[in-house]
Amino acid sequence: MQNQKGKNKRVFGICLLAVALLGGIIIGKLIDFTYFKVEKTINLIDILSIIVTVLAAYFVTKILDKEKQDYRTEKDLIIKRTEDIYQLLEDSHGKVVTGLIKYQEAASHCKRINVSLSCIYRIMNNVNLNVDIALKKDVLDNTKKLRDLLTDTPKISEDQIQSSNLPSEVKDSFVHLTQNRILEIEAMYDKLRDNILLLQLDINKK
Amino acid sequence: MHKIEIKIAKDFVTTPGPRYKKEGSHSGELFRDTILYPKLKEAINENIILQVDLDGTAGYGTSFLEESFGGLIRENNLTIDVINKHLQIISSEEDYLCEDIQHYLEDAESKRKK
Repeated sequence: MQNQKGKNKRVFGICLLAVALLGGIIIGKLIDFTYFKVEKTINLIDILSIIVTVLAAYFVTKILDKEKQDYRTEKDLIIKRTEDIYQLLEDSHGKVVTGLIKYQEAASHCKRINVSLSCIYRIMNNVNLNVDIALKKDVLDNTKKLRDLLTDTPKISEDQIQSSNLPSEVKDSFVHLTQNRILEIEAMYDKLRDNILLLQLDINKK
Repeated sequence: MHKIEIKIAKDFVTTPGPRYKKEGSHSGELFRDTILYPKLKEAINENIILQVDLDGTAGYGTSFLEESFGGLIRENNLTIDVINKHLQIISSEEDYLCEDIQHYLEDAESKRKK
């Protein structure tokens, strides 16, 4: 089917060229141009020049368009990967605010976010996509801050555990957070969402 | 220099837990008491390197790492110089963890000196 379409396109192109050539001959023979003179001979250098110009235009357009298209596709794929990080953030955020997240699960979410980010940065380097360095660092720093907020419990003795109002503690492997700590975590999730959006916009601009 | 190797995912668990044993399973305290400190002591006595490979787990919480490595100074009374001489941390999945652990060691050392 595809082959047939290509064949039809080629035949149509040849017909168009033949019609244009014939049209040109007929116009040259039949019509008398008052102010213009139609040469009966063609300079060989001119023909060569036209052919080279047409071929150069064809190849440059074809190659440049392909490169541009490839670059666009690469950017789209990278942006798609950053959307996966968005989803990871949404998933862990939902669990944290309900207070039903296991310590191991929180640590695992943080690792997945970090590993996905590192992977995206590596791919961006491979395809020479240079985004704002400060923004890249900001995303990594905020991911580390989120990991600390979620999984850093205080170093204190049994007595202190009983008497203090700890920002976070782990009981039976589940993370228990105070309201203040939840607010801090939510603020960090917001910052990270903003960071990811800025990263996407920056990638898109390149 | 010869070395002893620990791969946490293989020799301990693939899902490291919280800081203390009382908080849940596979804690940093348990890892330090049963694997890290005994192996590091062995490495110090034999004047060799202990290499700890962090890759292959589901992910580490800050408390697990702080208690495991910072605890070597706080609880086992080792100095940062001795630890740095005999302990090598490697991770290709999360290379920033090596830097974090160094920071936990420095923090514990500075608090010990006070």
